[in-house]
Parts: sequence; structure tokens; C-alpha cells
Amino acid sequence: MTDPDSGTALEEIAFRWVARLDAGTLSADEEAELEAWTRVDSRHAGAFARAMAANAYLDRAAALGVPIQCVPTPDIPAEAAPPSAISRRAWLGGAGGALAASLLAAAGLRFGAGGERIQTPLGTIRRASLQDGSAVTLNSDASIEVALHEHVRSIRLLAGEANFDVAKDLVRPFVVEAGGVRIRVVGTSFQVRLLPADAVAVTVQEGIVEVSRESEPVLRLTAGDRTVLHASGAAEQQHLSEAEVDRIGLWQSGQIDLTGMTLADAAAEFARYSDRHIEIDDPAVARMKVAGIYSISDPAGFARDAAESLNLRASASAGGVRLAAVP
Amino acid sequence: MSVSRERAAWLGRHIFPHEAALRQWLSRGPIGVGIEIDDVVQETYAILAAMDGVDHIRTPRTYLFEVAKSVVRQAFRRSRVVTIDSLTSAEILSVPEDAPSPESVVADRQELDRVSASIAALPARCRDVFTLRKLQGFSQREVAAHLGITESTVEKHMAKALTMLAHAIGRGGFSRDPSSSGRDQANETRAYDGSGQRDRA
Repeated sequence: MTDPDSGTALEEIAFRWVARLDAGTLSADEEAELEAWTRVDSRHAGAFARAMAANAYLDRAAALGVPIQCVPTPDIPAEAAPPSAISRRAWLGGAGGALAASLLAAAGLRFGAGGERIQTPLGTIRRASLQDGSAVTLNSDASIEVALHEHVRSIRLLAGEANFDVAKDLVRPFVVEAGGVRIRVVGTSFQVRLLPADAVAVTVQEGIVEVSRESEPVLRLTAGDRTVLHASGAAEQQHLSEAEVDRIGLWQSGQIDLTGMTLADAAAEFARYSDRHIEIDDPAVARMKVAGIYSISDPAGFARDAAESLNLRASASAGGVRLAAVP
Repeated sequence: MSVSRERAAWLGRHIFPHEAALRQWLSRGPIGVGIEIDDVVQETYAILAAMDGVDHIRTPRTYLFEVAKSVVRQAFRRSRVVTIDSLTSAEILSVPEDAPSPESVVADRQELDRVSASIAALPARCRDVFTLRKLQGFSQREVAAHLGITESTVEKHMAKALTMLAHAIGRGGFSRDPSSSGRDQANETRAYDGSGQRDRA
């Protein structure tokens, strides 16, 4: 920076701290040093808070899908093959995806043989591009392992929920394993969610996928199909309208549609994204129906609206917000 | 840490998108004598970061402007360069209403495009590091290994990228009518103003 102004200088120091936090390698000593730095005066504290805010803003923008316009720079060795033809759902912007793939290829990024772990903490949604040009969006508190082999692209869903936009590659199928269920695709967009008791839900937005559990016949799902496979081997299948499919994928833009849910279900949905829970003791209150689309990061806002529309009382509790009937 | 992850996320979502508008508004107000916009903004963030809770704040944008106003008022009192009369004139400055609602700010596709353009305008190495780390989700260590540079260099590039992006986004680089505070415009950041021109007031 050319401006020697002290405000700017503070900013630069604050951003250096944020970059170090981002590296995730802060030692106890460094943490104490950071703490001391922010306590020097309120401008230090403010510069650090602002840097953290800017960082969070950029994380959120990345999760929502910032189009990637970067082109590979000449000084990076271009050792990988040119990106193959890509056909995928275009909500990120097809060209952006292709460029992302080529940037990665040019940077020589490879997944190790053991697979690359990608995970999200509670409350964070992350979209990541894979080297083959596919993209995966992880919902809050989810974890996957990616291994892109020569003849198969193999993904394991270890926890939570993920959406896959798969780049078409006829000779290299894309296989997702989730709780003993295998989902095999060629090029499509679909979503997998691990449910309690080892059940797995698969929803297809586009294309065709094949779902199987060991030694059981292969299920073929097409766009709009949603199936829940239970550990017992039973499968519930339903066909959804386009609007319903979109509704299930709404979390990718940081929202949830609670329409038709009970208050208890809505509270459980919010619990997937935050440690601040909505608590309901009264079963009659828990059964009340709610409606509307809410931001996943705003359980308190939802609780307030619910209290207002259902004539309940919302009060702060140790774990979050408590909803109760008006006495 | 002095700012919790939860509060940082709230600030990033509800406050940072309005920082450019706040700076612009401050630059039009009766600031100038001994009061720096940077100082007001930093004090304002310090107050918002230190609050016990933010759940009660229904319109963060308005709240932000109110807090900033109180900081200005206090600075006036401290500097004793203005009379009580000018305090009243600071009070009557109204908070601008023309900005989009907080919820729509980052979700707005256009804004994401502008973030993208700001990323594209970063120096090459900064941009690669930022893209691999933040958009592709690789760890700083992985980025270092794959670009063949040290982790400390990756960290430096990240710090620079974050500083420059915050500058472009938080100081009106996105606005067609950039902050006229003047002194913070002459910077190496190529802020994007929608017309592809450099952002110089």
C-alpha cells in the first residue's frame, strides 16, 4: 500500500492476522499476541473486526457462487490436459466453471490417491470445483472425500448433504458412495443427503443417475425423482415437480423453505445450520404449521415471525430461543 | 479471539456490504477537522464487535449509521473544534434510504459479478492464491504445495488479496459515485466501478 496513513497501516496488520487465522496454524502464543494487539485500543479492535467482516463477506460470496473470471497466468506451469467438454447445470455460469477447471488444471492441482477431504463447519455452505470440471456444493456440517482416478471419479459422502453438478465424461463415470449406497452418473446434477439411521436421500435435478445398495437391483432415477433408501433395503420413491426440486436445493443459496412443516420440523431444520436452537417444550406448539422462506442463518428472525403469526411468546433461552404459548 | 466467528459472519453479512455507503455518507457530512473517516469506521466496527448480542437488530444498516453517528458526535465532543450548534446539523443528516435491503445485498447476482471482477483485478499471484483458497476451498498448505511457494508466501498473498478486495468493496469501489474522501482513493487497488475504468475520485 502506498498510503502511509495509520488507519491503512492498522488495516494491513489486521488483514495479516486474518490471513494467518485462515491458514489455521495459529499457535497459542500467536493467539495471545493477536488478543493483545486487538486490546491496544478500539481502533485496533475495530480494524480487526472489519477485516474479519470482509473475510466473512468474501466467504459468503464464494459459497453463493462467485463467477470465476480468472485466466491462468503464464508463469504457472501448464502441465495438465486441457479441460474436456463440460455440460452442467449453469447456475454458477458455465463459462466460469470451465475456467475454474482450466485454472485448476493449469495450477497442476491433483488429488492424492487416498482422496481429498472437503468439509464444512456448522453454518457454512461451500462450493468447490473439482479438477474434472464438476462442482460440489456442501451444505452445513458436511464432509466428502474426493478421488479422481483415471477410470472413475469417486466421491464418498461422509456426513451431511451435498449437491453435485457433474461434468460429462462418458469414459469416466462419477460415483458417489453414501452410507452403503452407490450412485453412478455420467453427467448430471443431483443431491445426496445422509439421513438418520443410515438412510440416504437422492434427488435428481437433471439427467439420469443409477442408485444401488450392495447386492440389490439398480434403481434408475431421472430428473425430478427423489428416493429415500433405508438401511433395511426398502426404498420410497416419489416424483417431484420442478418447483419441489428447486425447493429441496434452496439451501445452496442460503435459504430454507419451511412451508408445510410443523414448528418442530422447522426447529430441526434450523438446527442443521446453527448452535443456537429453537426450543419448544409444549407438544401442541410443536405441532403448529408454519410457512415461508427463511435465511438459514436467522433462526431468531424465524422464531420472532412464528411467534407473531401463531400468537406465541418468543424468549431468549440459554441455547437460543424458546417458543411457548402465551399464558 | 476478540471477534467470534458468529459475530464476524454477522458483520460480513449485514454490515460490511453497507460500509461503502457509510463512507460516502460520512464524506458528505461535517467531518474534516481532526476527524478521519477511517477512524470513525474502525470505531464503529469496534462497537459492533463488542456488543453482547445483535439478535435485536432488525435493520442492521440503519443501526450501523446510528452507531457511526454517535461515534462522530463523540469525536466532535473530544476535538472541541465545533460548537454544539454543528452537533445539531450532524443530527439532521438523514440515513440514505436508496440502498437495497440487507438480505439482497450479497445474494444479488450483480454484486457477485462485481466481487468476481475485483478478484480478477488482483495481481496475478494474489488472485491465484485467493481463488484456490477461497473459491476452490483448498487449504493454504495445499495451495503452497501446488504453486510451489512457501506457506508464509501464501499467507502474505492472502493478506494482500483480502486487503485489496476489502478496499475495493468497502470503500465504494463498487459504487458509480465513489467515496469522495479523496485521500484513500490513490491506491494500487484497481477497483471496479462497472465501467471498467479505474476508480479515482
